[in-house]
Amino acid sequence: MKAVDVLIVGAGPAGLSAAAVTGAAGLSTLVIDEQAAPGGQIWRAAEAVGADPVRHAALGSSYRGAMAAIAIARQHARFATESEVVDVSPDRDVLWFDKTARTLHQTRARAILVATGAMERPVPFPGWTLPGVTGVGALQIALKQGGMVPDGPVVLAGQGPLLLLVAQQLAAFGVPIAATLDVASAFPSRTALGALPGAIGADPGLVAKGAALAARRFLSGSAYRDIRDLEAVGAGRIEAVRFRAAGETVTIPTTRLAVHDGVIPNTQLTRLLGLAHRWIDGQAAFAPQVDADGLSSRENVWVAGDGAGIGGAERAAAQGAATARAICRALGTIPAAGDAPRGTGARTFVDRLYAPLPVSHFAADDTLLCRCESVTFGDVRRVIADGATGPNRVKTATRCGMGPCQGRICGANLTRLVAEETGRAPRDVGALRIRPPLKPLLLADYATLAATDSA
Amino acid sequence: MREGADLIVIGGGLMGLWTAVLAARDGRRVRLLEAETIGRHASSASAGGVRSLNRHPAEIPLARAALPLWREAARDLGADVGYVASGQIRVAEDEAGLARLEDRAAATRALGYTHEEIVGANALFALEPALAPHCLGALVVRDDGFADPLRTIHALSRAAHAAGVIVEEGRRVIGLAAGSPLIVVTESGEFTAPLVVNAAGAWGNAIAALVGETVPVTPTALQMSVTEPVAPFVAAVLGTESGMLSLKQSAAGHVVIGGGFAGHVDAAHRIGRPRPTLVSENLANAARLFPHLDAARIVRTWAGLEGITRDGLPVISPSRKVSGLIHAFGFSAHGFALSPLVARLVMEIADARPPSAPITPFGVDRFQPASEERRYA
Repeated sequence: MKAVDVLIVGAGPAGLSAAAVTGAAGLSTLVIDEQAAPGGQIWRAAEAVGADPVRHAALGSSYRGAMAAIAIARQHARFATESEVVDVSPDRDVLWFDKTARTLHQTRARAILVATGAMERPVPFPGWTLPGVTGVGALQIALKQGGMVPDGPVVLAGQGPLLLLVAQQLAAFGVPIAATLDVASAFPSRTALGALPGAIGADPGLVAKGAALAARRFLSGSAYRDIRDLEAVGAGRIEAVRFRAAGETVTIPTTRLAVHDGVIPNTQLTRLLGLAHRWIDGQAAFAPQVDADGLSSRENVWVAGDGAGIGGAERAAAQGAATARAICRALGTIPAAGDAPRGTGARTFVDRLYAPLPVSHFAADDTLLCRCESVTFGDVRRVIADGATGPNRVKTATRCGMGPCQGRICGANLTRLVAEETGRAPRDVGALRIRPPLKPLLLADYATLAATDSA
Repeated sequence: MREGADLIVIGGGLMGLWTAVLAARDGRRVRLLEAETIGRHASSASAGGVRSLNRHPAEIPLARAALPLWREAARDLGADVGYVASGQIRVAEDEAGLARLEDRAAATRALGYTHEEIVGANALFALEPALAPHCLGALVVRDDGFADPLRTIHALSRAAHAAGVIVEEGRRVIGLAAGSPLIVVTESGEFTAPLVVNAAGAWGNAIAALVGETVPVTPTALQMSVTEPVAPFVAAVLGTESGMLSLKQSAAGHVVIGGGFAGHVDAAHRIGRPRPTLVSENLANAARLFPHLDAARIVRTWAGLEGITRDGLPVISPSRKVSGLIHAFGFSAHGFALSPLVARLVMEIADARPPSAPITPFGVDRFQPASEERRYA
């Protein structure tokens, strides 16, 4: 088995800045990332975007600091791109799969940094699994990855800063937006406004940028507010979106609907590792419990960036570096000096302004919760009424979460639905147990480990 | 304040649930105490094999007697348990393996059983056309089968509720006192009953130890893997003489692959974890028999905790130390098939009726040092 000092999972802002620190301090550092190039979600395909004037003009503002961070990290660490973590043992033996070479590797790490970032919160509503319906984040990935522009007008629905940003980016690519369907009413809530002064104090530029984006959407003429009963309709793929606004039912023909309700920490790996998690009320999501340095409940397993609680790219980069310095000290090396991450900035305001919708906000009883195994909200409600007490009992009774996505898409929503149905707090309800492999793997690829790694 | 019952079951796995259902249907007030949640460990991690093929001679009469109970299970419990009378097949991949299987068949016949049958290559490929061409023959039990462990647990759980069993999850037993009635102490309250059934699975020896009975049990974590659904290609449950394997395909198309590989045991946290190199070896065994499985995606692997006794046979026995206590644990990775029968045997012990299959080999006091013991997988 090969060995490294530090194994970092995720090459986004947190992972990159951490790799630069541990690598520069002389610790052998391996960064594993699923994508073809470093950058993570926010800086996805940064090097390619930098070389493409069209994409750079439309998306450039998201990429501030990316090129430098990638260049420095490349100097100090080894990158395994197009590679996925399959399993990690409690003593930090990492099983990972190189998708290009199609080989399984086992690497023993003295320290693991989980920097797996955020994922878009899945929003179930009638018709949400029809082809043509995606998350807003998924739409943005297509733009970043290859400048893949939707071939027709797009309807955007939901709420959150990413929705506003992507609306602007689509416009820059010349994509018409048929309508934006905002779940919020025209005016921010009192609790959100209460956090506004703090946000302006912490990050005035961000607040101003957000306000400008929001104003542009609101004044664009195709904006609906306070929408209810969202539904995608169509046979075989989406043909129209239907919803209620201002007391009337509105139907808009479209072949593309992108929905958004914020992002949540990606906890698949931290759950697989069996780390202790905490529930973040304002983000309606679990995140691993970490101390001020980013150390988890397991020895020498660290978490930094959005995967430890949503804080945005800038904060993730600072956290990555700070956690990496703590890792250096834990492994007996002296890191270069650096600043501690600043406070949470405008996050509280953003969390309150775009308070997550209840999980069943749009969902009917026959709406799918688990798309892999076709389990509906009603199926889950029935087994809860039958005595199922938590997500794992629901899982064994309905197969919810047992499909190829391993509960990645339904897991967080299942916790919230069980909480809603049983009147308990999500933190007490708990989460699905995650089993290896983190992502499906061909049997032939799994079966080669004994042959190639018998040492 | 101690709450009373006619019978207390310790352990909410298959053995405990099935026993609780039978006892409650007899009109007893039954309380089931489960340390975690129903079916949490070996029961839900089981491969679900209903197998009399290649059993230890002592277990053959039990496995054969359990078969009709499985055929009746769905009607009996009022819910589908996914039982399929698929047959079970153990293939020989080389001449030496075929010779071993022929010896095994002869030995079973000599004991007076006729359920195991040797088939040659032609008959084997007629049964399972997708098998790799190097297979030479097999040992077959045509009326064996498999069931769905998760469905079985949920069917039993519902049947238990319907029969009036009080099922309590999160009640870990920490004390057991002889007397009339017996006293069962949990971390959160005491209970009394004249009859107590120890169906605590991998922790059954710890319950037995509370009354001074020593049973050598090693916790193990049995590894399983499952693929995404693939087109139907196999009817029976398949094993091989050349390596550990148990392979079956569910009605929905998932291929469930196990065979007895032992993963990591984390006894403190009561969890098991698959060992990647052994998962790999297990999958290689599967692909050797069915090469097209190379292109199937593995979606999940797991390892459930199970107690293996020193001789690989379970304990189904009245306590020799405490009157009213009955043991049914240590099923050593092949208890699933026996579970409906074990419940009957336990209730026959409770009522001092003659057992419907011989249980003498499963006495709690049989573990003498240096006896000849062999594990049958």
